Amino acid sequence: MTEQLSLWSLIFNASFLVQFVMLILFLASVVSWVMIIQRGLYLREAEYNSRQFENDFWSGIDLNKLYEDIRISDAGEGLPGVFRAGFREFSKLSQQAGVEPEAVMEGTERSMRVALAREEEALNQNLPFLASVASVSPYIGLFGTVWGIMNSFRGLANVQQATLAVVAPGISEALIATAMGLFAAIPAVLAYNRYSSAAETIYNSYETFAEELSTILHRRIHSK
Amino acid sequence: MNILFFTRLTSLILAISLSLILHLVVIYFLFNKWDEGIKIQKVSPPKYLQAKLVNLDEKIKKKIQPKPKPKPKPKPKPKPKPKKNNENKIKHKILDEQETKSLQASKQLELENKKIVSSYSAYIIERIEANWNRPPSARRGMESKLLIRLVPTGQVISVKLLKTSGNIAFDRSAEQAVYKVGSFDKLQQLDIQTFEKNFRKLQLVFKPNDLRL
Repeated sequence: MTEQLSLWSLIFNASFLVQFVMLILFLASVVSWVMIIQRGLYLREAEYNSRQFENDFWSGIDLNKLYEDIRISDAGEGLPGVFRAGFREFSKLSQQAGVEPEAVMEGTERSMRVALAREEEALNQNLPFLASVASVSPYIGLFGTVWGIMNSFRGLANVQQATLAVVAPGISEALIATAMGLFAAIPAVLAYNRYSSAAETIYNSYETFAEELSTILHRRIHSK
Repeated sequence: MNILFFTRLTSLILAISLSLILHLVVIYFLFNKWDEGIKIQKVSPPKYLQAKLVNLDEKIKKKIQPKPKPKPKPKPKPKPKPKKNNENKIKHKILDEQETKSLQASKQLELENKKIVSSYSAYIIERIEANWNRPPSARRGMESKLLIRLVPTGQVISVKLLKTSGNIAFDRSAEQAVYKVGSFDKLQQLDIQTFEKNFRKLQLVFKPNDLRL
């Protein structure tokens, strides 16, 4: 062993299993960061879009015109998507002759519920992966560490004079796995907590909007 | 839908590249600045446990000094007698010269013998050192003396403690080391005379930082 243990030599001298564990953890870290960034962008955009749309919606614009605008701009996501689904169903049903107002409202609400469910799914997408990285990667790292330490102690059994210098590199190498596990887990935990609460907030605002929209449509169909 | 797909793709690519860049930066810092933060402190290891053979050559030189004690005793005694006899009987220069020659030859032989002996004793030391497990309580200055009896096959017959170091564990470890070796197989190659002279009974001095015959 050289006096100065570089990280490279530690990693390359590790046993195959430990290297495998390190590879898994590295990949988990990369993928979880991809998801963290992607989710961050998506949620920010969703929040921005919904705020924008609510501003438009409450600006007193005619709902038909708003619907046309959305249809043209092809915004099928988020709050505009919910609005589009609900309003399309409403206008279709209310144009048909002989449909009861109650049935119209029911259809509208059902289609809005479907759109909401789809939105919820989109908001929570990838979050389970972050959660599993957060909870499992420390264990994987610990497994690599335990394995590495086990091996280095087994090697110690054959040595006549056991000094710290004999085991130290093995343990150091094994501990890298734990460090990597924590490195992958900590951002994933933080991101999961943050994003799941953000997703819930956004979803709640969607739900509130759907209720408001149905109230407005209800008033409209009954005032005819 | 096309636009949506495109924006999704760009955000995905952005996320992937950002994540990769982040990891590469972390890796770069880890691998290049890893050693800077750590000052390697060379803690001088406790010397009393670092029992190591210094070098075979050095050992041999050292060995030669203690060795003469057993050897000169048997040799000089038989030799001087013939010398004196010769001198007494015939006082001729030729014989004198012959005698000096034979003396030189015997001296050379003796030297060679010494070399052989020392190399074998180095071998013995090496074997014992390899099997010696010093107890943690071993300290510098401890010294225990063992008497070992060997047979020409190299087998150890008996080990006797001549002088205790005062630490029972240390004495035991020394004895144990000899028993662990069991037999010094190389000694079979020795001719019987040198064996009898030098290796039938061996006195070993065990010191924590040195093993001396």
